[in-house]
Amino acid sequence: MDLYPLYNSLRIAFFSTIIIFFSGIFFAYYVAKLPRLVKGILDVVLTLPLVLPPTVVGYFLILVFGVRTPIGGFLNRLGIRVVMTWYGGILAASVVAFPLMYRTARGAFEAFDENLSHAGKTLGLSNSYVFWHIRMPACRDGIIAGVVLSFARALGEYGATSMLIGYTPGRTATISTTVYQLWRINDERSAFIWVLVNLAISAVVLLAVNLLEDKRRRR
Amino acid sequence: MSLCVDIRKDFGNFSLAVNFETQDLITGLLGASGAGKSLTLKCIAGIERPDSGRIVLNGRVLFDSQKGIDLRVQDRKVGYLFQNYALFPTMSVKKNILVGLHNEKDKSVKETLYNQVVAMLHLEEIQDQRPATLSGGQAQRVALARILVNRPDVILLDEPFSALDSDLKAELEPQLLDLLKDYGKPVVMVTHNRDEASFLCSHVATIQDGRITAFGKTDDLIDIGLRGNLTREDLKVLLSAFYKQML
Repeated sequence: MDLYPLYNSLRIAFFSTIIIFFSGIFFAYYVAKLPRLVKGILDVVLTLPLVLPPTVVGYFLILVFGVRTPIGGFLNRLGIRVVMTWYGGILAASVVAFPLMYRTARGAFEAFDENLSHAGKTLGLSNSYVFWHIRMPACRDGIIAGVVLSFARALGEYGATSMLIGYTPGRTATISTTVYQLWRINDERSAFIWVLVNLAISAVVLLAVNLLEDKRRRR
Repeated sequence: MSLCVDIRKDFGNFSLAVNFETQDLITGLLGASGAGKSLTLKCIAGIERPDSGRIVLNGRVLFDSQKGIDLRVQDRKVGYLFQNYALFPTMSVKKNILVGLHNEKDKSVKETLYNQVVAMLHLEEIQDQRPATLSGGQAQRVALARILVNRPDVILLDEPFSALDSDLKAELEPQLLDLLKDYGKPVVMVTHNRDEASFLCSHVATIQDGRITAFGKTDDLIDIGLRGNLTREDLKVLLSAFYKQML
């Protein structure tokens, strides 16, 4: 059995989780501080990928990053092509899974007692020390939950991924696109194996989330 | 040693215009909730920014709207005891206190100060505990320790006893008073409790609706019912104190 789809899915999920981690926290932290109107608009835009059909997200991505568009053309001249490449999958998965991190992190930040941050500053601690050593640890559970959920979502991404990078065995194939292709050509046995692989990974991820929540409840 | 505060801040439906100068050890800001006491403390600490005015601490200008001076919270050297003590929940008691020494690079100084404060506030036995496991009185001591090792130029106390029950409060009040006297820097304390103010504070300013209604030596003010500035709230407090004595 060719394990490429597993490898490809895992690396796409891994890299997009890193991107989502930093961008999600960045937006969650700064959007909360914006004036109400701007916050409302940005909040809608940033959450939209969660409710749009992934194929629609993929369509938008092609509109923006397609080779004949200004942005896509510019990237193409730099040697970066996100259409029909494996790392295009990182873009697709990042956009689709981003709202999960953003919303979870924002919830965690909103529950944070601002007095802790003020207290740190009156003790002379720098803003970045307060952020990384006081705010982040206090919001740890929420942040980890966001990371796990985004990773799981990125790993299972199908719609936007198939729109943007298609299915090329050994090049852009992921677990979810492979399952569809195998089923389409009537190779039900192989499709079923990949379904089991997917199930196993999802189960592990959900187990991790539950363990985390148990730990939080016990505290 | 002096703290001079003259600030204004407008919120539309509420405005703060506070002006007082204190050289004495402990000054109390006395008033009902929502009168602007905590807001005043936050302005002194730099957590809130006044619209205009001046804050000068021992000749050091912390804020001056005309000269465009607005020191960062970190640069003000202001110790702030929060109402809920604001201990960092993910750190042990020891780490919480050491955070107050974060900017002290000299290891031996660090150690000396830490050991001193731990002995002074009797924290030896709870050093390794997390804040969530502490009693209210212990949490207060840890928060004070964290402030004292940081050696601020002024200490601000926001309702220091509101999270404690009255027995514990009666026990801790004299200890706090001794501690603050020994520290010898100006202290501004916010409270809505007249007894607390009269016990701890040498001077008291009463605040009502964002304005200071009276300012003077505690004994003078408390004794004659705040020079005719009696509000309904004051009457209630006086009456309840009276009834308590009758019983």
